[in-house]
Amino acid sequence: MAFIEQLGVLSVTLGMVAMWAIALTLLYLAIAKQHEPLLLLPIGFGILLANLPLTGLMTPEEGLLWRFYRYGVEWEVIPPLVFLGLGAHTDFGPLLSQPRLIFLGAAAQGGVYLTFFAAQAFGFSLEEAATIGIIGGADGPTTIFLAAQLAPHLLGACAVAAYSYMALVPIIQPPIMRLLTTEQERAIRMKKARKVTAREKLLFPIAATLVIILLVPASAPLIGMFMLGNLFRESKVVERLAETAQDALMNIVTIFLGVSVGATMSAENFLRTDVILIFVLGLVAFTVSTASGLILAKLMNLVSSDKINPLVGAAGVSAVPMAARVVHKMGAEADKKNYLLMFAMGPNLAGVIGTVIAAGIFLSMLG
Amino acid sequence: MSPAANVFLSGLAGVFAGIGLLYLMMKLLARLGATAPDRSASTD
Repeated sequence: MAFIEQLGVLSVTLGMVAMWAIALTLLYLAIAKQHEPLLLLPIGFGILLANLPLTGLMTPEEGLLWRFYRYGVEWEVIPPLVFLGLGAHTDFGPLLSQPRLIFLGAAAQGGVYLTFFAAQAFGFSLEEAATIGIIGGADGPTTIFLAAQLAPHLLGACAVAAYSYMALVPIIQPPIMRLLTTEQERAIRMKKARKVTAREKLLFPIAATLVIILLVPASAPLIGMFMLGNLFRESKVVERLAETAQDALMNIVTIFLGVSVGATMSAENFLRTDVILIFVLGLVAFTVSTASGLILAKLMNLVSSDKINPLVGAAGVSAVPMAARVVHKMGAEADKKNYLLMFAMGPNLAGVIGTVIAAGIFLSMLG
Repeated sequence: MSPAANVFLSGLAGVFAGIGLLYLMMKLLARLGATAPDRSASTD
């Protein structure tokens, strides 16, 4: 009889079945549609595992997935390691060649703060509102990093919202871009960027670390690792470390990050009305962030003779490099010979830095 | 001022201050870079 009592099938609940459907949807999107497969696949499988009965996988102090989450995410280990890999992948040349474009990355944080305000008005606590607002930064590891510290119960929903909207950049952004720009503006050709020297690229991660961390110390785990990874790359003396950070290490931490995030999405945590609101507010954040970057680019054109194609402002939402690719495609639709990709990479990288700064400020004020 | 308004305004101001400082730093790096020999241009 004891064996029968231990049969998992007897403990399945309706909520678990609903979560299986969500897990299978994410697995379908990852495998069949290839939407952010590196993350949605482990997240989807993590959801499936966490919603099987009597497994004990998320039992505190005992469960395997609980340990992944506790020591990887809650202890702030995995998101900074993802940033180490991102730094080793990143070429800051496009940003350094056009420094003024960095302000577009700051403007795109408008969606983060506006949504923070809106979420708070909808009854979320300040900590929850900050976690929801950061979805607008379109940066998965930063969203997870902030959620783990301010609102762990919202981590799964916010992470899935952030990654889903990042995957949907080519669908969400173009209508906003068309609405806020004229055909003539979309066809603006920007002046060729200057060549950036190797010394500038080498000094950038060191100087940026000093500037950002001295201003926002709470951003140190993410910015510190991001710039260390970039220094691996630009120093050209530790190629083995740079390769490991951008390939092997990045792949390993991505597995644990995805599974851990999925594991937080139990039926009781996820099947709540406020999760729908989180997805709606996340979309608002993303939309406003896209629009704010575009609008600032238009404003900068009012005072500068060296015109910026306002489309590049939309890349300030991070989502590297998808948002930059969308900008390039939209620009090419208006003028086939307009090559905007490298110009859009500048605000795209600035968006990553801007979102980390925004998260650091939330942490220092609310953490 | 309400706590939410405080976070909202301080946050936006902080992001623009941080990005503004980075902008100045990049302008400075551009000057340093322009006067320094470019290792990437080396043909050895």
